[in-house]
Amino acid sequence: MLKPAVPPPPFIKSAYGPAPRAQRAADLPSFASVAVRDLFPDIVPAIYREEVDLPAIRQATERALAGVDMSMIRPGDTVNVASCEHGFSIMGGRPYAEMLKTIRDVVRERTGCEKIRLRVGSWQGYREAAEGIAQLGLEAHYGKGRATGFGPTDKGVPIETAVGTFYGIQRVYDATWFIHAYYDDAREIYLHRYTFRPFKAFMMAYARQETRGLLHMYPNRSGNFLHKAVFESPFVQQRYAFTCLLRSSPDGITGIEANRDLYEINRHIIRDHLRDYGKMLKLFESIDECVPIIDGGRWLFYIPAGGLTFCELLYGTRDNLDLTNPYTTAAWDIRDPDIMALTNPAIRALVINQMWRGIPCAGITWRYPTALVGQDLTDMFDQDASSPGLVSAVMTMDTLEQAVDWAKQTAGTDRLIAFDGSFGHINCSPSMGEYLIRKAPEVIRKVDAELPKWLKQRGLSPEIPPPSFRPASEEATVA
Amino acid sequence: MLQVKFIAHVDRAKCSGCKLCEKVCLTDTIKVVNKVAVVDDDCLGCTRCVDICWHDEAVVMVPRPTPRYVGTDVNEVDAEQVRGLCAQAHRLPGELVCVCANTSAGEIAAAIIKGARSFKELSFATGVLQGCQEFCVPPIQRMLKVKGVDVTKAGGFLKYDQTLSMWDIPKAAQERFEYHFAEDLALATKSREGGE
Repeated sequence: MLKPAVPPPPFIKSAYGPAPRAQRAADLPSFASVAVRDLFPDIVPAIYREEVDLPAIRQATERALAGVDMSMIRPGDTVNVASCEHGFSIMGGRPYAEMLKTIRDVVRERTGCEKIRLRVGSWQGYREAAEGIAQLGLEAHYGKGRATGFGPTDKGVPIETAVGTFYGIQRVYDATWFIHAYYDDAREIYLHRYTFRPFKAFMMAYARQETRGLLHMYPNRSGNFLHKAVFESPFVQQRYAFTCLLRSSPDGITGIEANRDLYEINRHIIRDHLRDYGKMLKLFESIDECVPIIDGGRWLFYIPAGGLTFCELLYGTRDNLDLTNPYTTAAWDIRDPDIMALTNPAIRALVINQMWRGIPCAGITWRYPTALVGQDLTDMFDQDASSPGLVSAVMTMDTLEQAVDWAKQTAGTDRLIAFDGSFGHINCSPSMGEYLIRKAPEVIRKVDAELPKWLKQRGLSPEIPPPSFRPASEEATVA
Repeated sequence: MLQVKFIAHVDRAKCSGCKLCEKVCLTDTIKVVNKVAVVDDDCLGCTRCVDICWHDEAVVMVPRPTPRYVGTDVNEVDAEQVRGLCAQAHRLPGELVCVCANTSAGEIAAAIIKGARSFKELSFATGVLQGCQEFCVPPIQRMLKVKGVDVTKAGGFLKYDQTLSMWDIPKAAQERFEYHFAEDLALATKSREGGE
C-alpha cells in the first residue's frame, strides 16, 4: 500500500508567507505516500483531486443548484455571494473558486438578476481576500468592482438574536439577498465539535472582531449555539436566500450541496464527517511519535495531510468527537484543569518549510524543538506581532534536508508526516506510512464502535440517509 | 514582559498621505502630518500599517536600535484588587488573555488598577491587542467595563460591546438551546472558584 510521494496541490502566492519553496517535503529522498482510501476503503470518494477535475465541480454545482428555490430573487434585486478566504486554501482554492463562479452564472441565468456581488471574508490581513480574488480569476468572472474582500474591522451591523446582540459585517448583508457560499473542510474540530459546523461563519467570517472573540470564550461543546442564534435572527433570515456548500472527505472534494435548509446540510456533514474524518482523527490519535513537516501556503494550524489539518494532530489528545467530554482547547470560559495536556506529546519535533504568519504560534515552538527552513522564514516571524519570541526558540536551517536530519536526531524517530495541503493521501516517510497502514484496521474497529454514540449525541441515528447529491453507487454503508 | 524589536518606518517618497495607516493603528503612533505619515517612537510594531499600505508600499518595519520592553508588574498593585477585578470579568489572575503577547488577566487588571482606561493605554501598559485579537478583546472589554469604561468609545477600530458572557445568557435562551449549556455553565462557574 506504500506508494511514491504525490506532488501536493499548488497554493496561492501571498504576502503573508515566504517565497514558495522550490523543494517540498514530498520531494525528499525516499518519501512515500499512503492513500486514504487504501487505509479506509469506505471513505466517500472525491470528484475533484486536481485541476483537470474542475468541470466536475461546475457540473456538481449546477446540479445542486437546480434543486434550489430561487424565486425570491427578482431581476432588480442585489445579491451578495458571501464567502470566506479559507476556501481558497482547500486544494489550492480552485474548486471553491469554481463553485463561486458557477453560483453567479446559475443565479444570473435563473433569476435575471444582474447585481450579483462576491464578498470574500478574511481572517485578519487586509490583502488576504484580494490575493485570492485576483489569482483565482474571481474579479474577471464577477466583473470589475464586484468581487471584493471584507475583514473583521470593517463597518459592523448589530444583529439582535434570542441570546443577545452580536455584530456582523455590514458588507455581507448590504443586499436584498445573500447566499451562504461555504465549505465543510475538517479544521478546528476541537472547537466546533460537529455541532452546527456550517453555521460557524455567522459568528466568525461574517462577524466583527469583537464578536469573533466572543465565540472563543464559550465552551466549545455548547457554545456553538451562538452562530445558530445569529443565523436564526430575523435580520439574517430576512436576507438569507440559500446555502451552497463545497463538500469534502479526506479523499478530496466529494460534491456540492445546496439547500435553503442549512440544518439538513448540517445533518449530512455530521453523518459523513464523523465516519470519514472520524477515522482520520483516530488515526492521528494513534500516532505515538512523529515529526510533522509543515509545508503549505497557509497558517500552521490549517494545513492538511490526508484532508485533516495539523491542528487536529496538535490537539488530538482528547476525544473531541465525544460530547460527554467538556474539555477541549480554546474555549476559555471553562478553565481547563490540565491545559498543558492539550498539546500532543507524540509530536517530538517540528520542521517548518513554509507557512503564513499572523496566527499566534510561538507557544507551539516553545513546546516542541522546531527547525525553520530559510532565513527569510525566520525574518518573517521575527516581525510577526502574533508570535513574539518565536525566533528565539527555533533553529534556522538552510535546507529542508538539514532541518529534517536535525529533527530526526532531536526527536529520536524517523516517522515524518508532511502537512502540505494534500487530500487523498498522506505524504510521509516509509516508517510512518507502514505505521499508519498497521494501525488502520484497529482504527476502523474503533470508529465503527463509537460512531452510533457520536451520532446519537448529535440527535442522529446511524440510518440517516446520505445527501441527495451523491450517487448511491459511491455511498459507503454506515456501520 | 513583551519585547518590541521592530518599528514602522515610512518612505516619504512613496507615501500618498491616504491616512489608511492612521485608521488601523490602535495606539495612534502613526499619523499623517502635512500629507505624509509620521511614526512615533512609541510604535509597538503590530505591522497593521505595513499590511494596509499595499498599494503604496510606503511603510516597512525596521529594527529598533534597542528593543523596547512593555509590561506591568502585577506585584505593584494590591493582589485583592486584582483578584476582585478579574473575578468580576469571570477570569482568574493567572489565566492567559492575550496569547500573542502572553499577557495574563492579572497583568491587565493591574494596568487598569494603575489607571489604564482605553485600548491604547492597555496596549502601552501590557502589549495586548497588537497581534491577532482573536481571543483577548472580550475579556479586556469585560475588565474595562467593570471600571465603568464605555467600551464602544475606548479608542481605535474596536467599537462594539461584545462582553456577553455565559453568565449573562437569558434563562429562556439557555433552555431553548441544547448541547450541555447548563452543564457547561456549572463547570465554568466551578472552574473559577478559588484558583489563581
